[in-house]
Amino acid sequence: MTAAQRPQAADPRPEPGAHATPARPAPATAPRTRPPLRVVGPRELGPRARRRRARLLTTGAGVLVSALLFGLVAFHVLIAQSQLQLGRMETQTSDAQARYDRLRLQVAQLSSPGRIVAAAQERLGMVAPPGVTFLSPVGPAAIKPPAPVTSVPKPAPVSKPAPVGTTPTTASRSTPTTAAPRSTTPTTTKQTTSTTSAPRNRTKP
Amino acid sequence: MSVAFAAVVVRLVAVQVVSPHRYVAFGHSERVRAVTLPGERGVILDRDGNELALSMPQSTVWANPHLVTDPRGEAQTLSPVLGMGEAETQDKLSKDAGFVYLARKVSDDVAAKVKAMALPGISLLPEPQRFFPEGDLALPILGKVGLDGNGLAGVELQYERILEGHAGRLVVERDPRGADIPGGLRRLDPPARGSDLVLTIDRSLQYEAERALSDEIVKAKAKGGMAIVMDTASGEVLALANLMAGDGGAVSPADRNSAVTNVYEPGSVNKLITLSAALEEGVVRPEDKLTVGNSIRVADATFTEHESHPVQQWSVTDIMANSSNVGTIMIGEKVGKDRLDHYLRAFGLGRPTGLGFPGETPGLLLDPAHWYPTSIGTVPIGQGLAVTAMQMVAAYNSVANGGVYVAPKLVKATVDERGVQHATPPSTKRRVISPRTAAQVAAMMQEVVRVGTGTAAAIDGYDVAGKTGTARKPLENARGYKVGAYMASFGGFVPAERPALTAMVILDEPTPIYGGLVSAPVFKDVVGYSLRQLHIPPPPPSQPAAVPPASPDAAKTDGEVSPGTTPTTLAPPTSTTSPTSAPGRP
Repeated sequence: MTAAQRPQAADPRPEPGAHATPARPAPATAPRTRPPLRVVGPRELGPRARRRRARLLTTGAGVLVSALLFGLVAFHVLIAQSQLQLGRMETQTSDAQARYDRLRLQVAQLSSPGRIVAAAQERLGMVAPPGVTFLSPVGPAAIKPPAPVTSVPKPAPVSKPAPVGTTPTTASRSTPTTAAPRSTTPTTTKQTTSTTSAPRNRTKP
Repeated sequence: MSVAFAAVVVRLVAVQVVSPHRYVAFGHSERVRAVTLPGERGVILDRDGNELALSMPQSTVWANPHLVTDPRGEAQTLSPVLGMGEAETQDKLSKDAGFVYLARKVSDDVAAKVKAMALPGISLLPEPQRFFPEGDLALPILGKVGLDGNGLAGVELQYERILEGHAGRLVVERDPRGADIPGGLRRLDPPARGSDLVLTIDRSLQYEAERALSDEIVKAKAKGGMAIVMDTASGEVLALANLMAGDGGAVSPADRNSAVTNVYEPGSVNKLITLSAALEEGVVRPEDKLTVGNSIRVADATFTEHESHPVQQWSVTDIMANSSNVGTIMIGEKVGKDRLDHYLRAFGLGRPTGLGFPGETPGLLLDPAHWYPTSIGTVPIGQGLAVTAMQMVAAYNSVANGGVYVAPKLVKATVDERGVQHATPPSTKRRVISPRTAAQVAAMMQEVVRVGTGTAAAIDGYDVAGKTGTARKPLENARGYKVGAYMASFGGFVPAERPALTAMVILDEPTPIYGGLVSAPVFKDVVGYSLRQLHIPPPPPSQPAAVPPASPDAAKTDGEVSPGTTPTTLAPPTSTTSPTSAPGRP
């Protein structure tokens, strides 16, 4: 609906070209009516208002664009900072991993039995014990069951050349099939060949 | 002015319209870098998680000759640091290439010096380097890796597919200074780390085995030696030492895992199988007595005892305790070649153990159909066949396990990239002899250590079952035996009543030559240490198998040396020979 199609009576403004006449009071019999109201469209704003509105829009758009640009720049700065931080963290991770690997290798080397034995003997002056002391239990639990019945008498101790580093034991439990009287010696302190007597006579690569 | 503007327009059109792709590609190649990320190789651990082999990044020095401005000057600066010849360095820096290795996997100190020089065209590249923190411990088992990190020998080669890492790739846009361009292209295909390998080896036991074996090699002036300690029930190899003596007597790791890759004639330690077969087949009983003379004739050969003795009435136990050749051959003849061959193979001889170790040999066993007439004399006493030390320890382990063969095992588990451990399948098992026969043989072996040829293997507090062996060494690429060359061995298990550890010690050409004198003490040292280390207490007293003890006469002789008149290992006999005296005992 255009302005021309709207009812003219609703327009409170005077018609163009109308003569100004002194207002007369309405007849007392005529009902008193209010002028109809309607929403004023934007295009019906006056030029001044339209300019003001345009300025507002322009200003808003400028602010918005500026904010967007600023945000964009800030975002890029943020990305750059994050990238740098990521790079630094990756470097730190890599360094930490390398350090962990080196320390792991170092721990493995330091805990090597060969190094420990060498350090104990060469640096600390420790010596391997000449033998290991074994304590034999006494009492009924220490008595072995009787040997199976055999027709062969128990052999006497062997009089063969003693092998290197060995000495017959007096409380050995290696008499399973004989009924020979066992030694009742409660404990022995026999000197045996040490198992940790010396470092290996070996070349290191 | 117009001409200049027109030229700019023409050039612009040429760049943007006519051939834009070339410039796009050029720009792309200038910015985008593809970096290969090496996949870390898995770690090899012992059974307790101690590192035996691990990889660590080391710096490799490389050059881009296109960027090198002064090859001669840079060569003069670099060569002393890298330990290279100046001419060689200059030659590399002058090549028409974009990438040249100068020195691979240099030490951290060298890398730091090169980095500090900041020479144009010279860069560092991280590459994984394999380290063996235990030095030469167990090296023949571990093997080695090549310059590119691939396994070349040992378990490094055998488990290459498990250990190797898979390289990753990083594609990234970078500025001329090498910094990543924020928001630029960044595509990461992460590298995959290889799985770890957990061996059954115990580091401490391995060290002790190598130490004791090394000492004995030096003492006995042997050419080398092997020692194996095995967990009886599981077949897991706890220690596996392979050593050799070099020039000047220095002992070093063997160049290969000889216990698996080399064969030898077992000699008297093989008598265990002969007697097991006889007892299992009921050919003889432990208490049976045989009339054993000083020699026996088989086909056209005569076999003798090591030390002359009058005709004896020996029990089977006596024959075992004495390591009697004649007695064992007599029993072997009763068993027969087919049944003997059956038991040799049942005990694991003549075929791989299942370890799958690179270069593992199945040994040499003749088909009974191709036996020589004298083979029934040689095979029962451990000649005319060739075995590996691993096969023989597995055979002894069968007796220790109550007659059940348990395949040796060297790898306990793998650990994947996430740290999840995957145990390897348990060893295959099969019954070889009955528990009764195994108990009887074990009791006889106890007599060997108690009063026989293996007294040097006795361990205080424990009953040890074992058997000695002193076998002649065949000539290489010829028939016959090397004069004065012997393999001395001792195999056994402990505690005899309830075996927990089985072990075999072999010395190559020791002096003295006898397994009872040189190998048994090593057995005692290594196994004694292992018992303490693994907290294996002596078992409570139990009733041993009913076998007669070795007789006093038997204990006084030592006939473990195989006769020198028998035919060569796998060659036909040459002629009838008369008894000859074996080397005397010192």
